Amino acid sequence: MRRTERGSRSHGVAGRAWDVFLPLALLVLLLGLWEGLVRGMNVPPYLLPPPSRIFAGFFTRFGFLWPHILATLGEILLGLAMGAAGGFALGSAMFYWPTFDRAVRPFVIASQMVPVFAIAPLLIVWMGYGLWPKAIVAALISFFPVAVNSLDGLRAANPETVDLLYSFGATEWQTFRKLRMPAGLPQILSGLKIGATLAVVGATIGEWIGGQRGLGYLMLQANAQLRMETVFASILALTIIGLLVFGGFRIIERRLLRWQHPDDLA
Amino acid sequence: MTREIEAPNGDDTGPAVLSARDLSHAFSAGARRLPVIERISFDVASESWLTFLGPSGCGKTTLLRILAGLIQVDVGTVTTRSRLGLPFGTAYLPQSDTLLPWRTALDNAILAQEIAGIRRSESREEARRLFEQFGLGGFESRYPMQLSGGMRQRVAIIRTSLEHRDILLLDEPLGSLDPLTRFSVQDWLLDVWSQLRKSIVLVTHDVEEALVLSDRVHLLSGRPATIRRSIDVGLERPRDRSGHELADQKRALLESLMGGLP
Repeated sequence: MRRTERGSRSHGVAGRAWDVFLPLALLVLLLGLWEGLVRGMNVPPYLLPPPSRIFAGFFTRFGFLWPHILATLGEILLGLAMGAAGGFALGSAMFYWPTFDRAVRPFVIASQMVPVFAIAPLLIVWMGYGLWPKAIVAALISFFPVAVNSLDGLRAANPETVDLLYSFGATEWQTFRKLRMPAGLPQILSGLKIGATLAVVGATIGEWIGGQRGLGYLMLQANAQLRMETVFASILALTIIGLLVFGGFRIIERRLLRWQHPDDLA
Repeated sequence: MTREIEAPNGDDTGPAVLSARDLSHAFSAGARRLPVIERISFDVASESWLTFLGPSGCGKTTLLRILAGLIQVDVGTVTTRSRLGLPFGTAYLPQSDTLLPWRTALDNAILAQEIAGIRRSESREEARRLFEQFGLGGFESRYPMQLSGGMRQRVAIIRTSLEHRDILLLDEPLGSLDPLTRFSVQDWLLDVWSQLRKSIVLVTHDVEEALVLSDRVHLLSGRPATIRRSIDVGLERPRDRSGHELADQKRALLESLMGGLP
């Protein structure tokens, strides 16, 4: 009675090990190429330092980087939390309230046409150089994918299943909790993952426009002084933060959507 | 064997648990009214099996949705009567696969009770008993995607019967199954029906299925649907799919079905 076909996704320990090994091998190859070219062509380190110096700098100066990492991480998490909550609320409101949907839809789309770079200085003027303007920039660009995916996700439930729940006497709230929300969850989580990566960009932009701490601020300062190792160390730290936030959502996703791969449970 | 009855009819052996009188319904398509059902009347006798047989798109589903209370009918009345010990009303099973993929088979089966606010442990206990009783034991913790089409429909039907309603409304529940699976689920469904002592209103376009399962078959015309002919099958169950009595009735029904086509 068990269905055997499982799509083309590779599963099992061997498949997953391969998923880790291949990109890692590519990374080592590219870093090796970089190192070799920079050394071979005698590129001065204030233009492009070799990876070995970047990594060495990253670890020896980690104590110096750490407060900046914390500042940026705080902005990202706060901004993403606001963007996700706002996006989900907006998507849900647009789903349940068609008049509201019609009224706000053009503005929601237009909000993505306004460049964040144009809004960020205004926020700095209004709110100063602290945590909030950066978090708000991060929220402003991360809410959109969450809102769009929430709206589409809530629409994903099979209309006949909705009817079935109504025939059980379900309230709107029960239909939301037991059907629409779990049916839309895969898409909502996709929106959150996109939003998470955008929040990293948003926080960095916010720091570029004005601030006294954070990796974006550090990057800008170091760039002006041609301290390329610090620029690259900041980029590395931002990349790691982005990967960790994204990976966190992957873990949440795998836990919440375990039913999609029931054969992996064992 | 076949007893022709006047449709619409009123006389019946058992007390009717559901009576529909002069149901007419139309959908609006822009400015036009599109009649789907016209003056349909029937009774569902207690613990009986009534089948509506008709071509695809004739309005069978609309009729079931009216009985389920999901559509407010334009004209006509539907009345249901309570039998002792059972809450009155209907339990509806839509045509498409409506199991929730994120719930195990057992948790799918208790969905109606969960919505009604009954404690999970209590309803799980009852669902487990039904799973055992009707050959689904061992499948409780499987997810729908781990089940065959036939098993999925069985779980869906158990879920419907766990609504504890007097009348089950089944919209082509076996329509997506291959013929062999179909036969075995038909026999299984007969078993469920006779053991749980429910009334069933089935909608199908399969003549043989109607004759193998039902006490009474109402033949529907194409849109707008009217009851064109009604027969009481009157054969002992289990019925022989290849027997000549069934073949005779099948021929008569097919002739009526074809007679209405241009």
